Amino acid sequence: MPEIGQNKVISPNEHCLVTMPSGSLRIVQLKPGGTINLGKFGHFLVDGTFGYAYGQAFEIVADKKVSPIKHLLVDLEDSNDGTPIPELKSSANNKDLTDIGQKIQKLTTQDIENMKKDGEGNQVARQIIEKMIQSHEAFEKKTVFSQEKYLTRKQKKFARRFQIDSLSSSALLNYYYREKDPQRVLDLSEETLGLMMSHANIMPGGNYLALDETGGLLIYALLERMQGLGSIIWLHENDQPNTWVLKQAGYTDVELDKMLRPISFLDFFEPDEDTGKVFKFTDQEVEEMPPQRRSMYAKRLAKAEKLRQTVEMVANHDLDAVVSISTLNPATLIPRVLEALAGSRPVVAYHQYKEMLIELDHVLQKDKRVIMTNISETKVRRYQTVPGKLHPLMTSRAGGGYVFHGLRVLPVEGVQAVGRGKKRKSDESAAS
Amino acid sequence: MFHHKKTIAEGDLVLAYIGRDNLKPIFVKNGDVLQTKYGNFPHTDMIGKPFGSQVTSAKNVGFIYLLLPTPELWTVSLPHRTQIVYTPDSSYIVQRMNVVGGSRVIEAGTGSGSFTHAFSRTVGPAGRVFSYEFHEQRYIQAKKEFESHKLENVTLTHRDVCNEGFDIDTEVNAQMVFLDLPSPWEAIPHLSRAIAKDQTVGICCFSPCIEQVVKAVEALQECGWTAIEMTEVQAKKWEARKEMVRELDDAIERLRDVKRRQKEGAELKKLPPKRDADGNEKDRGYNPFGKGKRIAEGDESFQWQNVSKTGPELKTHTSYLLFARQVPVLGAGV
Repeated sequence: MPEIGQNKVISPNEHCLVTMPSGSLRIVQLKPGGTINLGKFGHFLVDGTFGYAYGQAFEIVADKKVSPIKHLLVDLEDSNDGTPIPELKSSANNKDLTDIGQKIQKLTTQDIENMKKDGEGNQVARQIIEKMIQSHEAFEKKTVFSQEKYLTRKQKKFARRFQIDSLSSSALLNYYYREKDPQRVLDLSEETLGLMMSHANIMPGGNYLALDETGGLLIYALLERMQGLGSIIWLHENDQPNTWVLKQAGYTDVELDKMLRPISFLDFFEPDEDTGKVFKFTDQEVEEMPPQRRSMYAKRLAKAEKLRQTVEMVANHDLDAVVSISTLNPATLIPRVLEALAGSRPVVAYHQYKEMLIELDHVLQKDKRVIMTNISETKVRRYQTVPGKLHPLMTSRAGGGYVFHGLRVLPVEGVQAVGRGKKRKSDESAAS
Repeated sequence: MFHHKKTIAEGDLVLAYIGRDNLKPIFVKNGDVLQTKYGNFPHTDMIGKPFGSQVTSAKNVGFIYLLLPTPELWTVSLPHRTQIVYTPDSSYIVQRMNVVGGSRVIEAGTGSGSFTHAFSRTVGPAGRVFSYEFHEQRYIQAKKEFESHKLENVTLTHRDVCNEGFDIDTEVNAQMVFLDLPSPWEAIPHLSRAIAKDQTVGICCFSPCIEQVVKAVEALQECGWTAIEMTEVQAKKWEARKEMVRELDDAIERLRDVKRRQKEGAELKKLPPKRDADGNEKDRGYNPFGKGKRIAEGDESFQWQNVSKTGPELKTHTSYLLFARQVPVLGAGV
């Protein structure tokens, strides 16, 4: 597997994001010779998509074949099958339009179902939409804008189209955040993830300490930024870290092993003489092992050696940042991991609840090892971007979480700020 | 500039943390002295110290921290030449356009060079940032600054891209484009010669006014860009505070106490004076909230709740971010 995002064209066996006309998202693997079923948006043969750039939109034509189109929701005129849309009249305003509900449409659901059965590819969608317009008693009383909106709405429902995007960390996150349950990624939004990456100063070649309870989404974003250079010590609370997001994105254990160094809290905080040790067989015993057992043994040895090195890295106090998405109490967790960092390195912690980070901020304001503490919240507002009809979207997903960030420093014992010494001392004596 | 060094050496750029909003960039040079209102700090003492060290002044009265430069710290300490792109905007742009190690990015104009630093850090040694600035003075200053910061992956060009386009001696082949220009619609038609042809290219136009956005949208549509979406980032900073928990019953109890003492009026006069000879505080009666005393937030003799508030000023608008992308028409088949 190449580094995340390095394939520019749609390639065999890659995992990618499919967007449907309705805006629904799917993660699929593009197996050569395979067919992908998009439910009511049709089936398509995978091979026809290979070689196009990621980001390409397609229309399904006859025999499940695909044909590239300019945009997922193009005007009907832009379609490839070239049938012109009937010349339509429209109204300057909606004064003659009366809402009588479904009665205005003479086409029944059964008619539409029958049409779906008879045709194939996006042609079906065209036929249905055209028929719906013809059977719509008041279509000509709508304004042009309203007609366009109507077309878009019907396309979102019937078009046999889709778009293939590469599986960037943003694509993967939006899949969970918008399509699936946002709680699976602890309500983390794209803008908040971006903010974390910047404040943690993530770049190729760094050695980072990460906590990630999103199943690996944060790790995925780190790997994407690092492009194969550096390492990530992944601190977790079980035997092994939970990697379901990474698995869904197509990572295998072998690939993950290259950059990741998983370590449990126990091994991290209380390494002892058993940490990173396995029972050693003699060379002769190894020689005599059945091949499968021998390779298992070799794997265990390698894993143990890696853990030993990881413990050593932690003990060297020279990691480049800690980035955390954890539901453990940050106020007690973060102060305990600070010692693993080198001086002047970022401390970045995410939480979906601000209150948890406020407590952390209070604790670290007293802890002299962190300065410039901050709690940030960013939220993106999206707009309907049509000149003349530009306005913010009426609704958007709330939430997105909060980011604590500060800088690990190396304080000198007994130093006090100018003008504060006396006050502090009397406070301390009063408190004790 | 952006590295993982642990120890300060002669010639290094260090950001001296003097106060929360006061970071001073210095190049460490044997014999030089950093003068601040908290005292003087000889550079010689800094050499060999780890980044992040707290150092005390020559007379041991004040201290500073010696920080490793990062684009985010640089953004809050840099000399402003123009309005700059702050971290809430820049971090979203980088994430959404998928700028990563190895990316090739166009930036126009360079401005104060703040975003250039963030791009340079993120694309790393395998990537490249092509930055264009039309204002000569700003170009000269940025050139000097990028050289002294060793931004080796940045190609800075003095150019009015709106009239002269993006062509330079080397192949640009950009995968992402960031336009922070007064009239981006004039630059957009020139992009076709400078962007990658073998992959989808992302663009972000950064404009404060809605009229600029409308013109840019039209130019993007004309030049074949799709998935056009305008957004804006709303950022808040929260301050962690503590609010004293004051109970109604305590307030009533205090009033009872006051009433009782008023009744004892005559007796009250016989109470000890406000301050006795040893300077002990006068008896204020039942005083559950520390009335009349100076109470530090979080004083352990009282009950507190953790709360938060935004700072006194809220940034309500920076600029609109207009995103789009261009998908090249590639032939099918691998």
